[in-house]
Amino acid sequence: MSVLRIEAETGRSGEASPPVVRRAIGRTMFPYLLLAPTVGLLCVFTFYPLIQGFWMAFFKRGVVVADRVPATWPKYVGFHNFTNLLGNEEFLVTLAKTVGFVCAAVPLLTLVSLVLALLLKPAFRGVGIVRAVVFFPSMVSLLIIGITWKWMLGYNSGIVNYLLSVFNVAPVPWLESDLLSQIAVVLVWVWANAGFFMMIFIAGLTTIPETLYEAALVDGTSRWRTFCRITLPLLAPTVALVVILSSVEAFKVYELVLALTAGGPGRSTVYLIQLIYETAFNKPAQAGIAAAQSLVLFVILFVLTIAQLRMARSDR
Amino acid sequence: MMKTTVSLAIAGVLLTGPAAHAARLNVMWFLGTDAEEKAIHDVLDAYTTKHPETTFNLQIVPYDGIEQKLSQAVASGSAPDISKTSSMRPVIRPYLVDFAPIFGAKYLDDYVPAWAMGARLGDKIIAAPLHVTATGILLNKSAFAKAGVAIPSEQQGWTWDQFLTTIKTVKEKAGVRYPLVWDVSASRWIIHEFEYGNSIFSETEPYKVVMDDQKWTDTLNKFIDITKTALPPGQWSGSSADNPKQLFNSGDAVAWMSGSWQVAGLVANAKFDWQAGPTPSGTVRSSIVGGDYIVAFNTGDHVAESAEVIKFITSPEGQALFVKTPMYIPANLKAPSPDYGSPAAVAALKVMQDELTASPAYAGTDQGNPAMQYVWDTMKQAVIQAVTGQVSSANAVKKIHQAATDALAADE
Repeated sequence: MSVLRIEAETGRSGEASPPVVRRAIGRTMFPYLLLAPTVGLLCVFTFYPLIQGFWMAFFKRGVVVADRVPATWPKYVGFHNFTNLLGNEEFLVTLAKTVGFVCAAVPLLTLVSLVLALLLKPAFRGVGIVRAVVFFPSMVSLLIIGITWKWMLGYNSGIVNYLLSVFNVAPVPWLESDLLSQIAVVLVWVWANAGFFMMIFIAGLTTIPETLYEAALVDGTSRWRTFCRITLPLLAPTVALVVILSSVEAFKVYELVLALTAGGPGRSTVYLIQLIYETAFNKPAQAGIAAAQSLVLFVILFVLTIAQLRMARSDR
Repeated sequence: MMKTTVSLAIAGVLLTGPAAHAARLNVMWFLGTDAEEKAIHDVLDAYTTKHPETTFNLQIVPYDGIEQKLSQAVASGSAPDISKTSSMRPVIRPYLVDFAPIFGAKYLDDYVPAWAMGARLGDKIIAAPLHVTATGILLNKSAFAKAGVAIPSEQQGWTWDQFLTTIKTVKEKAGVRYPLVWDVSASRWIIHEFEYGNSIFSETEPYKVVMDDQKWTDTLNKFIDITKTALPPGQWSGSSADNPKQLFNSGDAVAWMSGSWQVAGLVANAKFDWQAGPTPSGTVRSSIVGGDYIVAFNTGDHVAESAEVIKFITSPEGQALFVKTPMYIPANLKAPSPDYGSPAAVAALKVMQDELTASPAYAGTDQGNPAMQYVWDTMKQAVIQAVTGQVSSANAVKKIHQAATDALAADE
């Protein structure tokens, strides 16, 4: 706006000297230039795929559209892909299983991260190293974590069953049994993410004034009561943040499960992203249905993100 | 003036002459075994020695997702000149060079018929058979010797019941951990169905699904019993971390249902005596043919050169060179008997080839039917779910039947 005004004024009166105009334009444009790479990347890698995915959901088509293969050419089907999901038992079961995973994994992750934060918040000798060790899995690819744990939990060759055998305990089918494999996925996912959320809790704990704890100490309040009456209420916004952020992550769980159980035994640990992938890439001409499934996931994640933003605003 | 014209002409010849004939072909390849990398380099080097104007840009890619990679490559106009593939999905077929007018309509007559069948598309020849594989049983001969149990001859053979009883005895007497390990693969599983006379498609056109669901279900139930009584727990759960190859190679299993492509690895790694077959039989004896093809894409600038290279690789001379190191079975029936350099390998591959020959026709025609490419994934998932008890055997067979019916429709 201001650029236009300066240009207009310059053109009309001819009083402003060219260097001044250039400086003014430069000052106005500079922030946009700084933003351009980020916005460009967002447009190419986020907004375009998002719009393309949304568009695909209204067509019957494969992932690949080949010019010489008419069967792959997109065919408009309106809302058929969405109505198809309502009667698609596999999708509904997988959605329910994903929600179940979120309900089991998120509270456990929140609890574990909080306990770790409470243990590692106080400064003691070597706390930095311990925190780094706990945080380390967050820096490793989930695929690597999945493969590592798959080896460790192997029935015949895993170190966990080997250690059990030392104590004459029979090998446990961690990854081969329905229930145990689901538990294994939850535990490994919590292990992989606890360090990151612990750091968020530690940041939250440092914002609680020490004077409150000193007052409680003077009053002779027990540690549990101090935790319930001071720490937890003042940490509530952080807890909410952790719950929402970890829920988003849990809904997107994929690489870890793929490497750890590949969705098995049978289809026990197939969650939403894996189903979307299989629908798009393993079944002919079902990329539109996969796009519709992605939109359902998008809506869930969008609602969670809005909730998180609102919470952040109310905190302020 | 004359001098200038001559100089320009010479310069033109020097600059454009060689370039007009020289070709650098992009080759996309996945490895069936580690030893195959050397084999493909040897073959391509041999071709370049004969035709110095042709060189190669060899790109080794993982096997996983190869079909998807080829589909995306043709759609985006970045297909390689030549690729190895195990199937030709409908989406890539229009982009493949038709070898029939180049090599002649009888070109495929020189190749293992069941595998050559998959290379045909009507009157077209859209692929060249590269090598074939045979599925069958591999035995830990040392464990049998330790247990004092004899292995029947190839002619004598054994039924599944006799085989299971025997390997359980060997397990006990020789102190081996498991009687049997079985690759978690649909093509390794289907051999069991084939051995009880069950097939998917009719053997000749017009193709239709000929599955007798009840017979398939009964045989699947037999397989589920085997997984419970002879295999390591949960091996066919789809999530097991235990690799059948590792268990057999480490001497933890008496027998291994796998195939001819494992021979090179056994020669290199097994610390015990081993042999191939006899594969147990049901109501009939059967193996299943598999393998790979080599295709050329008609989207590049080097179609003629690519066809020549493929003709060389699939010729008796090229086949002898290619199959030697990875110890593959040549697809070309006129290829000389390869010198694998190991008596055990030679004996194992001979038994497996004999078992292929003795297999019923449907074992070849089912595998060769292009519609099978859409059935394998569903088949594996359905069997795994039946083994883990997530669906009944009857429902698993129903899913396979449906996938076969859909596949025929999609293929058309």
